[in-house]
Parts: sequence; C-alpha cells; structure tokens
Amino acid sequence: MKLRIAGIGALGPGFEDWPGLRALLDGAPPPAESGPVRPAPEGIPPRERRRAPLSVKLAVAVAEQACADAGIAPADTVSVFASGMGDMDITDYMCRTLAEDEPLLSPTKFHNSVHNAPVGYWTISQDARLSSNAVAGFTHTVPTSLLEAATQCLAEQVPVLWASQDIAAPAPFRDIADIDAPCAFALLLLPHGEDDIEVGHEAGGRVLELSVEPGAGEWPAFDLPALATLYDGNPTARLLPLLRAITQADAAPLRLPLGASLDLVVQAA
Amino acid sequence: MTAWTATSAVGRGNEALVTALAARRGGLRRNDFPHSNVDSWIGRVDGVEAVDWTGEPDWESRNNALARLGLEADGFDGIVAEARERFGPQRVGVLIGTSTSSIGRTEEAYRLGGGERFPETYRQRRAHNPHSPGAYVAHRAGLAGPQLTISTACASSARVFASAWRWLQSGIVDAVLVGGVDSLCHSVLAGFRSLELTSPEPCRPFDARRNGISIGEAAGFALLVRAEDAPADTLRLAGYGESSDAFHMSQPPPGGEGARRSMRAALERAGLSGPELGYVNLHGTASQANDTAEAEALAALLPASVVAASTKGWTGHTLGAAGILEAVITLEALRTGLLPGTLNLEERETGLAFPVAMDNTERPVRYAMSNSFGFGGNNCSLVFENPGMAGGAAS
Repeated sequence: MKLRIAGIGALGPGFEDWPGLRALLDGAPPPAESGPVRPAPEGIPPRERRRAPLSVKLAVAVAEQACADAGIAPADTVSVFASGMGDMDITDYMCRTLAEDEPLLSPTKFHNSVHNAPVGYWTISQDARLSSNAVAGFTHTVPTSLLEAATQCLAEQVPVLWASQDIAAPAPFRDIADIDAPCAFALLLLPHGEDDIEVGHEAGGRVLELSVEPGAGEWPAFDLPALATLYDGNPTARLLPLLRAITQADAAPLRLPLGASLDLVVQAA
Repeated sequence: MTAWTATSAVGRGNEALVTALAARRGGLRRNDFPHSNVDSWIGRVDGVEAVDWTGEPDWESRNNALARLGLEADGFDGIVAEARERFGPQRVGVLIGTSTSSIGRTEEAYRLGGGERFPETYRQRRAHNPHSPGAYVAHRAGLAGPQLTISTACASSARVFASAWRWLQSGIVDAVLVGGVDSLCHSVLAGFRSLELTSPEPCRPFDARRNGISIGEAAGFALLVRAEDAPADTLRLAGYGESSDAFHMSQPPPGGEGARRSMRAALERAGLSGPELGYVNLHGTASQANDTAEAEALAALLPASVVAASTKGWTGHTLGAAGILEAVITLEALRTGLLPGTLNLEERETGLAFPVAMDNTERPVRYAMSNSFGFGGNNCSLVFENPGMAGGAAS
C-alpha cells in the first residue's frame, strides 16, 4: 500500500508543531522549561475553547496544522481520529459523579463523553461532511488506526486526515495507564500518485509503503532523551519512530506491532 | 457474508430474535438495573451476570460477559474457528463497534474505591480502555489479525461493515469478524436522562405520543469474506454509506440532511436508485428529533411503497450495538421474508414525512437497508442483498 504524507501536525511537551518536533528528532536540546501543553485550535471560538475538553482541543489543533501544512481544505478530507485511552478526564468526571448517592450529570459532559467527540467537534468546526471515524486499539492504537486510514485512503481514493491524541492519566487510572503528559499528532494522507494535489513543504511529501506481515510484535527502541518518557507511556507517542524515519534520507524499514505476532511494516521512500 | 448472530433483550441467537419479531413480543422491562433509579424501561439481557471469569480475570466486565454470550450463540464461535483454520489466525481481522466499552466496570472501580485507587481486583488494563471489546473478542476467538474497536456512538457497529469491506479489498486479511457489543451501565442510563431523552414508558418510535428512548444492550457478530470465498447463495453486503452532519453533537440537522447523504451513498454503491429496496430498518430511536429528521430523509429518497420500520420497541436502543443488531434483523428479513413493523407504534405522528410501517409484512425481498446514526453527527447506512431473490423487490 503506497501513500503520501502531505501534511503533519504535532503537539506535546516541548513541541508545538511539526517543525518544533523535528528539531527534537534531529537532536536539538528540549526547551529548558516547557509549560503544560495548551492547544488553541482556531476553529473553536475562544469562549467555547475554555469549556472544550482537552482531548477535543488537542485533536482539532493538530488536525488544523496538518491540513494547513498540506494546503488541503478540511472539508475535502475523510477523517480517522484515534485515541488509546479516550478522554480519561471525562471518564473520571462521569464515574466520580455516578458514584454519588444522587448523581446529577452535566448533559454537555455526557455528550462529550463519546469517543467520537474530538472528530465530531472537528467536523462541526470545519463543516466537514464526509465520513468521520473514531477508533481505539489500546497500546496498538497508532499502527492499527494508521492501517485503517491507509485502507480507506486507497480503497476510496480520497485524502484521509488521521489524528491521534492521548491525555495524561488522572490519579485513579495511574495503576493501569502510566501517562504523564498529553500529546497529539495528525497526518494528512493521500493515495500515492495524486500528483495534481500540491503537497506540503514541511512534510516534504514523503511516500510511505505499508504492508502487514507476521512478526515478533515488538516495538522499536526509541531512546531520544527528550522524548523517551513520552514514547514509553503515551499510546499516541508510538508514532514517534515513524516520524523520525521520515526525517531520515535512507531509513530502514520500520516494524510497528499490530498485535503479538503481526507487524505493520513501514518503508519511508 | 457467511454467518451472523445477535443476542439482545428478546433472547440469545437468531431464532429467539425472529420468533419475538414474528410474535410481536418485545423484550423491554421496567428499569431493574442494580443501583439505578432512572425512571425508564430497559432492554436487559438475562444471564450476563452468570458468566464465569475464572482463568481470565483481567477481562472481567459486563460488556465482555455480554460479548462472550453473543459469540457462543448460534454456534458462531465454531464458525469463526473454521475460518481461523481455513485462512490462518493472522489472516482474520476483528472490527468491533461499541459506545460504552467496559465503562460499567470503571464505574464500579470508582464506587468501590471511593474515587481514589481502584480496588486490587479492578486494576485491569485490558478492561479499562475503549478497545476492551475488540481485544476481548479477538482473544476469545483466538484471532491474531489486525483488531480495532470503532466507537462513533450509535453508528459504531454499522461502520464495522464499511471498514471490513476496505480491509478485505486491500488484501491485508481474508476474513473479518465484525460486530458490536454495548451493555447497560450508569453512564448511559443517567446520561440520556440528563439530556431528557429517556422515556418513562416503553419507547414508541414515530408515534404521535412518543417521548423518548428505552436503552438496551446487545451483542452481535457477522463473518465477512470476499465474494469468491463465500457460498454462491449467501446474503451479501451490497453497499455502505458514511457521512457526517457537521451540525451539532447531539441534534440532527433539519431535514435529516446527513442521514440522507449516508443513505444515498449506500444506494449508489449498491447500484440502486431507491425503489428496489424491499425493507429499511430505521434508526428510529423514538426521540422527537431523530424520528422527524429520519422520516424527512426517507421521504426525500424513497417511494412510500418501501416498508420502513424501527425495531427498537422490541430491543430498546442498544447504542453502539444497534448497528450490528439491526444489520442482523435486516439479514434475517432477507432470509425469511418477515419484514418487522414498528412495535408500540399505535398512531403515527401527524405530518410525519414518511408512512413508517406499524405492522409486520411477509414478503420476499432482494434488497434491504439498515440505518444507524450517532452523537457527533455520525451516520452509516448499509445495504444487504439476497441474490436468490432476483425480481423480488417491493414495488
């Protein structure tokens, strides 16, 4: 399966966009002090931004970056949004409230509790009316959702906006999900050969060749000091080896596990 | 499509389902879900609590228990085992839709843990994440292909068919176990009440006096292979349509504009214009806004001669499992010629844009559609075909 990356969005501790992340991937020292990750998506009006869940703001912000980078209108894309753990802040709110004797739930928080809230807000903010999907694959969220995006991109011959985000785990979740910091990434994917669409300069229009092969189900080592903790804990950060590979001129094929004995093999050309 | 099964409030497996539909016997009961004081009716599956978790405690949740009951109905687990032998475990993918996943288990962990640390037996990494049902179904079925959970609210387990079509077309798998599992929990019972969408009576889709939904739970599955790997006379997925409203998180746009686009896309992919459809299983939740918008969308696309009805009066709205449950009802309608009407619909709303069917109809049909629409403005329509019924269209 051959695809082209036309645009990239990135947001996380120490980076606010793809150029910022690429500097870290190239070995630049991380900023001495990186404050909390504070996405400010333009498509969500400032007064709504305050109330919008972090998961929504993260996904919408990186999706905006990827579309701008590619120069492709959001309404022309199909969207596949992923998250390994979903919005644990809202899960925490829901479960905490429901444990009370007379639970009174906020209706807004309830409709924001659906896994497709980020992609729902995205389609509403951009008037994007094509297919929009929301998926989860736990620790394998990134490779499996990329596979889902790739098959849709090629079967339907449409631009696919893939985005993934995971936020830090609230206290009760710490025993099962050791996520310290949020991060989000987006890729604007085109079927290979769509030369009539001009591709974004930042992504360089790198071509990816994907295949599914039996494998060891092991994650590649990723020990860049500035990003290693994020990579180890946050399911969305499992995209980092792929992003590093596309910055390298002659990267070896990358194997990302889809399960215990199956790999997504990615060759950046 | 080589096999399908559904388990809901009307019983386990397809025979129980068809029997209840034919007899107009619904499965709703007054809310008796433990610790819930929501004044409503629910579609609860009997026997979920009796599932034994010895040997796999890390997976324990009501949702996964329901998934297991669903897999065991109609000998479906055996049929999946045959596909695993035939194609190899890594060549069979898993796509499962859900909206609740195992959040009922997380609710319990908070209740028992006082909102601090989860009690020891609740520290289950495999239960407390949105992919829990997809991973559990793959685990139970011994499958090692790509596995993904789709969670787009009430459209979740309709979308699995569209994704499976693409996975098969891309060649990454030779078969896909698709399905959906959603279970009763406080998040949805109290959540839909907070939106004032739950009815204190059994739901009455499209009725003049309808006043909200009844929440249900269900598990359902189907096995999809490429046409050349399926028996010649089996039912097939003929088309799918997906669209986004881009309008509001929990309200449909005027005229059901997004629903209309998903239905039209599904018809186009199936090579149909509309009148060829013999039956449409509607989303028909019995909420004021959904039913009005869906009827308007139908009227824009289909002649009034098409039998269109909602089966939520039998099962309740099973949310993330509604897509698969109603796909199975649609497949059974194609197989048996029993086209279910709308249980509890006594008096159609005046001015309803489409004459939604009240009574059951018996008539062989070749093409049938199922609609599923979810929060976030997420729409999916599916068209199925019984190739053995050439010429059996409704009109």
